[in-house]
Amino acid sequence: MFDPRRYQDACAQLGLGRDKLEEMIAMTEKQPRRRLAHPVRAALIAAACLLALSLTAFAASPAGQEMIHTLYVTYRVVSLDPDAPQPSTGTVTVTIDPATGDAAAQDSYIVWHEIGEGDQAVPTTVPGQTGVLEFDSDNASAVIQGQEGTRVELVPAQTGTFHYQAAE
Amino acid sequence: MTDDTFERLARAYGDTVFRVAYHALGNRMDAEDVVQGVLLKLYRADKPFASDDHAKHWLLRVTVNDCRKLLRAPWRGRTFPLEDFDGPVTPPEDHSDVLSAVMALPPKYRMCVYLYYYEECSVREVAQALHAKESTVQTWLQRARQLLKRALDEEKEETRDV
Repeated sequence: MFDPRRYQDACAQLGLGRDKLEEMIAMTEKQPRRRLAHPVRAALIAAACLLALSLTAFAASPAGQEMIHTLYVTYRVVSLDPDAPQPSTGTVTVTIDPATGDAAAQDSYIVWHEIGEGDQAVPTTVPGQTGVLEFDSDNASAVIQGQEGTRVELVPAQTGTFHYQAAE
Repeated sequence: MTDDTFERLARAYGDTVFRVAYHALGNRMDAEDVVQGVLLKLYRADKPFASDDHAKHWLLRVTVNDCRKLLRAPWRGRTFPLEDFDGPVTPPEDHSDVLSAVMALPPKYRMCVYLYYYEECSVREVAQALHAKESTVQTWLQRARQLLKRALDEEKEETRDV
């Protein structure tokens, strides 16, 4: 049976101890008052705003766009002409997700190249609104092999890239 | 708040804050951390307290809130070896079974039992401190008593068998 009196006696023994309380009071009194923290907080907020502005400006710049595309823009090839990937002849028609038709892609000069063999890059034109990329392998030294579901990464033209990677 | 008022309230209610935190968190180290945080909030509190009772109830609420924050913290699940743990200030042997039984209750019941039976708060005051309805507090108390009765009866039977 629960006996409140016994419980009260037990609780009365629970305590911080004089030394501990003294230590805590001493530590607390050393803490700065809240009014001293305000300037620090304001400075931190100002720094955060400046950082946000800088990041926005960087994101809008060509270098920023390039970095963002390099890091984040990934497209999926939804279909690929199965007869086309030949070393010397043929045309590769790739249908890419509608997202490929964004402004960066339309204005960019892009190339296909095999991952890991960048020197074999093949310049071609940008698909534009259609989202279709035609690759004439007659002009290519690259061997393009792919299949439906191949992952394609879009990077701005200056770095000359429209990588494609083997399907995972 | 003046340093004198702070020190007087800290001395008067430091142990109370510790006991509330200890009941909520179940170990001394976390409870001491909470006491430190609550005392800091008291030191920085701009509001004047109408009475010591007012200050005490403010401290109880702040302590309960801080304990809840700590219980929700993602690093709460950390463990440490028993050897590193200096343990609670243990109550006398003849009372430890009651305290152990209370500490084995779920946290909301423990807090409820502590505030009601030790701090002698009314159901209304307990409800305010725990941010719950009075009827909920009454239910918690009733369930806690049932659980305690069962636990203590079982313990008594085990002792008798041995």
